[in-house]
Amino acid sequence: MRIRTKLAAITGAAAIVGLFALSTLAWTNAQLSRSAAELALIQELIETQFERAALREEYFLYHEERPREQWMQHTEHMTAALERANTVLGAPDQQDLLRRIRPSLEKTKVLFARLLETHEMTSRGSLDAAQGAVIEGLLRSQLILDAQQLAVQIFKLQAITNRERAARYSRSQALILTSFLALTGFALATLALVARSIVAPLRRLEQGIEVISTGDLAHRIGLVSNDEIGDVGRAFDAMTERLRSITVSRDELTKEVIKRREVEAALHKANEDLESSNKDLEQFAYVASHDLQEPLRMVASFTQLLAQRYEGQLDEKGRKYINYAVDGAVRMKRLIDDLLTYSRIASRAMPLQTIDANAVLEAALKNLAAAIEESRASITAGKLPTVRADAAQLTLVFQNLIGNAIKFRGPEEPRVHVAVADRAGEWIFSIRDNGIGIKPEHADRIFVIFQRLHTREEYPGTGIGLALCKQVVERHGGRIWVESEPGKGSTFFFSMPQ
Amino acid sequence: MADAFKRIEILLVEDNPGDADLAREALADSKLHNMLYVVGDGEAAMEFLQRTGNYADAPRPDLILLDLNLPKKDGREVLAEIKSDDDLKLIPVVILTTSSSDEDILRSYNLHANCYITKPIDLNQFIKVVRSIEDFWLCIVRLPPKCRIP
Repeated sequence: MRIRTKLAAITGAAAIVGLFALSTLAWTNAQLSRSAAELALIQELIETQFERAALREEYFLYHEERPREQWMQHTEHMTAALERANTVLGAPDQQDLLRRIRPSLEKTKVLFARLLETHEMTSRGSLDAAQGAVIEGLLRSQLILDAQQLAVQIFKLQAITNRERAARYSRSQALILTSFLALTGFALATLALVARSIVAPLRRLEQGIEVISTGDLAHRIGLVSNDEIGDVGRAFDAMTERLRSITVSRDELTKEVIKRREVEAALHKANEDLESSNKDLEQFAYVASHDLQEPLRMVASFTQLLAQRYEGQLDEKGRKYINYAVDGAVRMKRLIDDLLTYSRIASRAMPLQTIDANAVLEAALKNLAAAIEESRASITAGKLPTVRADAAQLTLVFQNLIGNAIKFRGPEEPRVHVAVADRAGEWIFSIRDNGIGIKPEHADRIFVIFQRLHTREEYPGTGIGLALCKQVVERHGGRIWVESEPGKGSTFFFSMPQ
Repeated sequence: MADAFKRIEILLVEDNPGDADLAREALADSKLHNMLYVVGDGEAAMEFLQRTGNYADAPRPDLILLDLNLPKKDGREVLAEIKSDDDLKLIPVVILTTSSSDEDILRSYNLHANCYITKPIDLNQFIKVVRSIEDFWLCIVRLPPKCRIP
């Protein structure tokens, strides 16, 4: 039940209990005033009766008109009072007495009238004085007797009424006590109700809030009542639940952040390691470019010096061996140089810039000028676009691909054509030749470092050129591949993002 | 123009005796009357140039052939010291080294090397290069008078 409803019920009950108490008071008051009115009337009857007795005696003594008239008046008064008593005194035994009093009064009236009549007759002389006196005496005695009986009955009435009044009084007291008990009971019930349905849940709410405020978000107040406090409790529980889930997701977030930081730190460490290994590589590259080449040079130079100085003492075989030694050293030097270039594609990379591919091609052709002239190659090219690239590295790509096209030439004079196509946001460069071609099954192998398809005697080289091209193209976000058939020339393609 | 009869002094700073011998071979048949002094490390080179230590009687060279990778004192330091000395900086310094790295080339010219040459692997090429150096710097190029600033 809602608290509002409970309060309305309490208010209603309070009104009922209050009305009951009020009506009890009113009823008690009415009862007591009724008793007071009854007793006042009976008092009046007693007083009138006594005054009548006094007036009667006075009349006997003096036979005057005044007491006689007054007696009559009082008797009338008494009759009227009895009439009133008939309505005022409703109890059965009162009514019973009243029924007896009324004829008694009537009887006194008759007796008094006879008394007056007797006295009249005596005074008129139609009755003997002595005889009259006796009758009068008899009547008087009868009258006194009746009056006394009447008085007795009136006193009885008074006693009954007094009793009735006492009974009413005690009934009233009982009623008032009952109302008081009802009021007290009601007050206690209200207090109990308030304590049970308001104070206790509020206290539970307060304790729950205290527990939750210490950080125990798993705590629930768990009010089941269907009232406003229950609503507050449930709303609070819902809020705590949301808070808990927020806290949980916050904790997860914190964990995630910590994890990310760890990853970041690991990444940073890896980066540092990479940097240091790059530095090592740099160092290695320098060793390769200097320290490895110096002994090589010594081998080559002094073998040659030996050949020159002792020319006369060497036979054909000796000269051949010396040539092998020198050739080996020279090839070793080329290998070292190529490896160095290859290793520097990543470590010496320049930032990508917007450059004109035509100029890059031109630079590559300039580097190849000797080979082109020697092989009488004809190189043609379409108009090339501008691309975002490392110019030096892109030059290496053109230089290697065109150089290969010339090196692996067929029986005819080499013809090389450089072109570009725009395909789905990429530039596809192509270098087409009329050379010896490549078997399709070797199309992938040729891009792997040191992979060669021919002996050195057939075609010299270190087996690094295409691997270098692949690395450069991939660094620029592109791909490189070849389409070829043996004897029908090859076309090398590489893509670059636009 | 250098006097053909005047003795030409060349200082070769080279830690590799093979290279020193090759240089000697190359200069042996020169038309110039030259005297090749060889020191094996950077410190010795500076002592030679400043005539201290074992080199109190050293002559002032007309040309310095300097290798870059040297024991004790690096060729780059030697070059920097020569080129920051008001007197010594007048002597042409030719870097003659195995290294072909861009850094070494750039750095040497930044330190005011007069030229940078990578030693060729081929013997005949090497001899040709050394003779060209001698010819160019001592016959063709006009250098400041050989005098010491007090």
